[in-house]
Amino acid sequence: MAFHWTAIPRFIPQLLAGAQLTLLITLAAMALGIAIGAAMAAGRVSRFRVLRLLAGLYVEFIRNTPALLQIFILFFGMPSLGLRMSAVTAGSIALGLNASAYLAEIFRAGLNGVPAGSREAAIALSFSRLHMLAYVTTPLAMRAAWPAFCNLVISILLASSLLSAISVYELTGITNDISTKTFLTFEVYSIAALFYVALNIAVSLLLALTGRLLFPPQSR
Amino acid sequence: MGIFSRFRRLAGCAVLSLGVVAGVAAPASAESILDRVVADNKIKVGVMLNVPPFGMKSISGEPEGFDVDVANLIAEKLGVELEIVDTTSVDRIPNLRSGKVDIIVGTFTGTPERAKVVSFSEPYVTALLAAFAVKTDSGIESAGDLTTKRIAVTKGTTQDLMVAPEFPEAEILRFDTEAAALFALAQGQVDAFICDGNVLNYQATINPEIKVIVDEKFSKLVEYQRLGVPRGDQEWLNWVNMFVFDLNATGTSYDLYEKWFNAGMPAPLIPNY
Repeated sequence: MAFHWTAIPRFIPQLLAGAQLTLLITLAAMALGIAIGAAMAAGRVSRFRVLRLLAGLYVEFIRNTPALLQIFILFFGMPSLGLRMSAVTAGSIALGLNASAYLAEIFRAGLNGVPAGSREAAIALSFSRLHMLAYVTTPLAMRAAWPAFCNLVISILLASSLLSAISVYELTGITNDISTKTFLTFEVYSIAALFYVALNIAVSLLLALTGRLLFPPQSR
Repeated sequence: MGIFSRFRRLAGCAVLSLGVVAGVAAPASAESILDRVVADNKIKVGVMLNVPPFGMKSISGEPEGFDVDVANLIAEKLGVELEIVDTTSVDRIPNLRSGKVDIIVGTFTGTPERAKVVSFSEPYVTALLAAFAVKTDSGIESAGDLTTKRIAVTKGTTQDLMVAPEFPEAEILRFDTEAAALFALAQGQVDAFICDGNVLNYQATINPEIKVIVDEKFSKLVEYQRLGVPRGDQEWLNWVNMFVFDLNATGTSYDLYEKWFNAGMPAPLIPNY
């Protein structure tokens, strides 16, 4: 069997377009995930038992079902309830919901990691509840949650490849398409793998830089 | 172990891995698949088990269908055991090229493009190339009504290749399996599903919600579906062609079609051109 690497360059623009969509889907999913995840984390540490229970149920339900199934439910299942979304929309929302459950746990762990002393200090300095949340609890929780958050971004970026199953032309979808038309299976998938590595390294570096800016190392 | 022999082994490894990386691994042993299958007493046949009635699973989970019958006949004629490897349209060529299967029996249409990478037998079944399944109540009557609609195809099929140039304005959604595309149609995520006429006609007989349109523009386009084998094994291809000749000459292909579709094959196996 011979390989045909020289045929690859002409597919680079298509692969770049796919990589762009992969990034957009990841961004949309993370935005939705952060919003719902923060609400669920707040629910899980709430004073009210009902909220704790509901948020706990949500998190357990999402975390214990496969992402692909969640994607299928939103794309193939929701039309039965009269909700019809494009493949990109349905897929991004599904990934966002998936991310939200993990983010809820990441944020909750961050909140639990805030030392009681910091809060007591804030109370002693007569911070209002809102000020305490904004200036003490959230920054400290975010600092603790940041590494886990970065890991999740990478997981979601990789999981976006599942959207190829509902005909989204993100990086994997495009790769499938090129592969079926050219039969350059090994070549095209290898290049796509390199694209994913490059994307993830770029995203990781960006997140690491953001982390350095947001949470500068403390001297102890 | 002396330092030299160790070095020799290392060098051997390096050369071997270079060969693999560059794709010039030693040429496959001269043994034909035909000899290996008989020696191992087992043949691995790739069949698509999600394309009823060509391949599907019975309620008890056993593979059945037109292509499953053909696969059984192949094993029977060779006198070996049959192992069915479930595959999808898009995986047919990778499965053949990687040696995961010895032969594909899966409504595999021969095309000059595909023949560059795999080899095809003579045809064993024919199909209309471009039939459309649409919802019965959709009001879609011809291919002309589909110009700006959402059209589903199965990845890696001949329809996948022809649909984009024929419908440049349409939104094309590509799915992994026929089942997923049919499901998208049922759920209103697409307006039409273009597939081979045999598959769709069968679906229409079991699902009153869909109907099949064969536009006049495409009515003369016939697919000649063949058995696919890895390229470069002429002896194996010779046997497979003999098998197909036997299948066709004894009328078995037509009988099997009648059995699974309750109708005659849409076009004769010998093209009239």
